[in-house]
Amino acid sequence: MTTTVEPLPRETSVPGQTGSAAFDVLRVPLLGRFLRWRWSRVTLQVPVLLLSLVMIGHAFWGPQLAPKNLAALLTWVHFRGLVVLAILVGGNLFCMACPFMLPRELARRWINPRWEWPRGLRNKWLSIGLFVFVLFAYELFDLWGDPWWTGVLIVVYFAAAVVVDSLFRRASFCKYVCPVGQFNFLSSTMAPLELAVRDHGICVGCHTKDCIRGRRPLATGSEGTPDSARLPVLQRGCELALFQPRKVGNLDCTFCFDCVYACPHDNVGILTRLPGDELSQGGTRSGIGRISRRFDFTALATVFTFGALLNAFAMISPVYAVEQWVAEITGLRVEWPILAGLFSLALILEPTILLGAAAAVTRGLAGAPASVLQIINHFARSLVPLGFGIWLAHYGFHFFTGFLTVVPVAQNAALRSFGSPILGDPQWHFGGLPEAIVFPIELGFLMLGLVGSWIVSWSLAGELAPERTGSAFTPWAVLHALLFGVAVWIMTQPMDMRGTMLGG
Amino acid sequence: MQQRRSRFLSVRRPLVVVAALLCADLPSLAAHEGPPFPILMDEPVAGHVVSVWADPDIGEAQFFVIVESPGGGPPPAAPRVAMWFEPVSGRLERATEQATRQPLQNQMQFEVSPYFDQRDMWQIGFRLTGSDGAVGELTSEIESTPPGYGPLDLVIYLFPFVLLGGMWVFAVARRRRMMRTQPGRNVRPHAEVQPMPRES
Repeated sequence: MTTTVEPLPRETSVPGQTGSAAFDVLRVPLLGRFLRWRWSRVTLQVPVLLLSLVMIGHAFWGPQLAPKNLAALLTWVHFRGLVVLAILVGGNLFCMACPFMLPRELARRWINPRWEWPRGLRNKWLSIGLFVFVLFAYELFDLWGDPWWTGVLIVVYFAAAVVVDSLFRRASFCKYVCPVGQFNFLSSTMAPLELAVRDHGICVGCHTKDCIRGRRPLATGSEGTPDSARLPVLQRGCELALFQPRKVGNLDCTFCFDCVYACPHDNVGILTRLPGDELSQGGTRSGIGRISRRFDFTALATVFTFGALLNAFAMISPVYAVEQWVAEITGLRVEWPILAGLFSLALILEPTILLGAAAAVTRGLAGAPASVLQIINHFARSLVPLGFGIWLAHYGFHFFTGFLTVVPVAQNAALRSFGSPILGDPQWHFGGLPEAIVFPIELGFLMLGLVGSWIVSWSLAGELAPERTGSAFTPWAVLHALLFGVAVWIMTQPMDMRGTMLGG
Repeated sequence: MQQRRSRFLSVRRPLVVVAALLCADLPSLAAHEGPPFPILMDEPVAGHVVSVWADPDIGEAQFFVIVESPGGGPPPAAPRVAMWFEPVSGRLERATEQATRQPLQNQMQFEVSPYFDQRDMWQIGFRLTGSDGAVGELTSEIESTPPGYGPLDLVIYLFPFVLLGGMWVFAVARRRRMMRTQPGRNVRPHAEVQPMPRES
């Protein structure tokens, strides 16, 4: 693979507080020692893999009523909630413990991938398409209420990871295919932790670049020797092409710790930083390039945010009325064209109009010497904090109102599987927090998202029009406030039995 | 110190205004207390298997009746479902509400909204009439639950988020001010790092 890395402008600041002043989780006595251990990731992956196998078994052979099925309950209530909450308080911990990677690692013991990922697909478009497809299938087939198809989805995911990474080198599945991964990458820009270099001075003197090339038996001082590249890799470097000294933020980082294990100087840590600050950073990023010049990242951020609204909107009562109304005026009797229309409206037409209008007004008010598309590309990142806030509010609602439901469902599964209550009689009254508590939490997540989007867009406005920052900021602040208002309206709609999944 | 404090307050003010605006709209926001929970599970009635989930809030109670065939999955024909309810004390007469079927795929579910006028213990029953004319009934008791504390809930549970938001804005503003006054600080020496080898 050839990866060109342009030097960043010297004035580019470090996101958050990365550097020697930041707190380093890897320095925490027991936790740090465990995480630095080479098998720490596998240790985290194995229980998640076993749980996935239990879920698959229950999906196909357990009760097909979703609230009583572990696959549906754990996937749509617990997994989604825990993923976003873990990102909020830590980082991309799901990718770190990703169970899909274990079969892939096993397969790679026998299969040596031969091909590089096709050049034309080295972007986010395929994963954006899959992300939208999953959202669409979720609504069309009511996946939350269908354990069997939920099981199929999990199996397909495992198979796809194995097939893609058996054919193509490096972490092609994670970087270019996995829709959950893209969701986690964008979300983790809001995380308080980042895998980053502790002391850049050490990297200046490093000649081996093991953090990206991988460590080989004679790696130290072996650079330039023709045979060094043929030696077996003892510890691989970053498979997502993120060169640590020039890596900025969490985008495309799976927290796999390969760079931590590979660095011969023990110079990579898990450092604290200001959430969302990396979204304000300009310049070229290792393995990514310039975000402001990548329209696929603009599309990803847009789908991430507007998809959050759409996904939440699809779970409240008014969506049935809208679908019914469309069916009546069009005469359609099948759901998918109506749903496709709603998706096109929400993910293409609406963002095009809103982002285009905000960019056009910015151009007029601030006199920015850039095209509307360039301004959209510049500001699209500012949607991410609000989008993450909406996902947090939505998934947090499901999780907080239903996190204890796993207890009776697991008890019931054991009872049915073994014929005796080895986990006790199902305690069906177990639920979660009352909505009187959960609703303010939802609102709090939305408010934090709005504040984050305003912080990022203020910074981006200053970069675009230093003399007229306020004028460049205003249209985007209004757009964020509008989306925030829509999200609050959605969260206040009748939720029926969403928390227990009986109503989606 | 005073200047710093007033700047901090000015940053928080918009958040407080948002919270106050939302508090003003509380009547529409005050949702029912607690998510629905199951009160009857997998009970055989009139040739069906029935589960009932309750959300017994005063004034806006909801009950969800899930009907399955004995072999699992939705039955081929939908039964009629009705719910009756009366206070255990007998202070009100028995009332009956018809349940309506919800538009869900892969499962047959009915919703019924009885009116509980105050906190009390209620005797409730669910009558199923199958398409073959078979009739069966399930009964239970339930306590109607009061709504939450209303505005106070919002203020209490929203406060940590307002605090976090304020701290976040304060931290960003502080860091930017620091970067303006000390431009060399927090700069990553990218240019000094040797380029990565092209063959990796």
